[in-house]
Amino acid sequence: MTGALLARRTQRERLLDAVRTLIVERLRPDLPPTSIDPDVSLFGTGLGLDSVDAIELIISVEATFGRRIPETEEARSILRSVSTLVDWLTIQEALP
Amino acid sequence: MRADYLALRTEAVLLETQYAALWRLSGPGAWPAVDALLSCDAAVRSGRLRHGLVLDEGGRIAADAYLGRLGDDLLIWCEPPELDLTSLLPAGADVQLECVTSTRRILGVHGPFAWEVVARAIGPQVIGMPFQTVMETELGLLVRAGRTGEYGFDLAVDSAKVEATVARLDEAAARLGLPDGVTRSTDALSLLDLAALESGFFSIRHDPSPACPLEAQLRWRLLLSKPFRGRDGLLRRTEEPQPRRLMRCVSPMPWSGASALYLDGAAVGQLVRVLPCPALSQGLGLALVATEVALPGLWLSLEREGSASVRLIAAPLLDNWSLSIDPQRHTLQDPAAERPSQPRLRPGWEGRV
Repeated sequence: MTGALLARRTQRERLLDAVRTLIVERLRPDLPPTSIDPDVSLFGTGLGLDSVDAIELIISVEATFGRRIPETEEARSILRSVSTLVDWLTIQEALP
Repeated sequence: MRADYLALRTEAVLLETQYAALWRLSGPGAWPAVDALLSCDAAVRSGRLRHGLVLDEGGRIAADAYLGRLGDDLLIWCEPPELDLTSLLPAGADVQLECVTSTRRILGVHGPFAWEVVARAIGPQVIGMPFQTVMETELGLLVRAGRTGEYGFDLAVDSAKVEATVARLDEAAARLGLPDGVTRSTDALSLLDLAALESGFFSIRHDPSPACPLEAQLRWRLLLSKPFRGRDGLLRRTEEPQPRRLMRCVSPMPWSGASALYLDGAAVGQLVRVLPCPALSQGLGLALVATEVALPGLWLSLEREGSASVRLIAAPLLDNWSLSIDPQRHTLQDPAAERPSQPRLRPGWEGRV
């Protein structure tokens, strides 16, 4: 594995852990963070979050990462799964 | 683009396939028997559904299961349909077990406007049906569940009434402005499998070898604090670091069968299934890869020294139109209204490395 790929993997694992912790602390205290798989759906099936949870999640992401999820259709795409949220945070971290 | 796929992703499609067996369990021993069998919490409210799994003793997936309750009876939709639940329930359990699908057939209507077709055929109560619920209707047992990423309804109808029910759905669709009725899928099982791949859903038919729920990213279906069939085998697996994870991937077509995947000349996993994906005009597949390389956007090779041609991606692939269609605001009946014409890819679906 190249150095760049290793760095990318480290970044992704860090963000995955942070998002899992955020979900457990704010939304699903009944779950251990390690039980949340990256591709699990946040809403509907999977973690079964609802629209109230969505607002809490958006607020928590801004408080934790300092990045505001846009209040547009794009938010729906960003919040499909833990992995899609991590993808968005990765892009945000690359921005100046 | 195949017509049934386009109908599924933009309108409504009719699926006639016995992809699952429906079992009805009653009697005082029903709940404890189901709780001992399924991996999920069996305490489900009447009219509601919950995802679970049936595991083998080694903790691998023997069946995909949807648990529901109607009054005092429990319902289990079980894939594959060949699995005989009778042999898996605890010996001596005081349970009456009926395989509903031995006398009924499953008719599925799925798509962004499936709710409107089914509501027109059955009644407005369909529009108010929350996700993951079940109710008895005059046409049969009706389930609202997600198998495709779109609005989805499965009707379990009396085998003798299938033709009449299809005619009624067609008539409903015609009244909504679809003169040819609901588009029929010519290969409903492969359409369900493709939809599951696109949506990031598990399908028992995807993995040729029994999958482990940990590798399949299905921990959310496990309630490890209670005993259930296969739990001990699974717990032994949780004590070890998980070396592999099932990931979606984009792959060249045609696919020649299970094949090894390489990164910089080192074997890192296996391609286990690929289906042609009309939304991508490429193959969409499943790869079982080492967790250390389970990175969306990463390119892998099909040959040790070959060029990279398989790209891992994060599910879901699509931004389903059903997420934007609101039964309170949208209708097929309005010819002037803008309607989806193509499946919509989720921005950033490719991932990045």
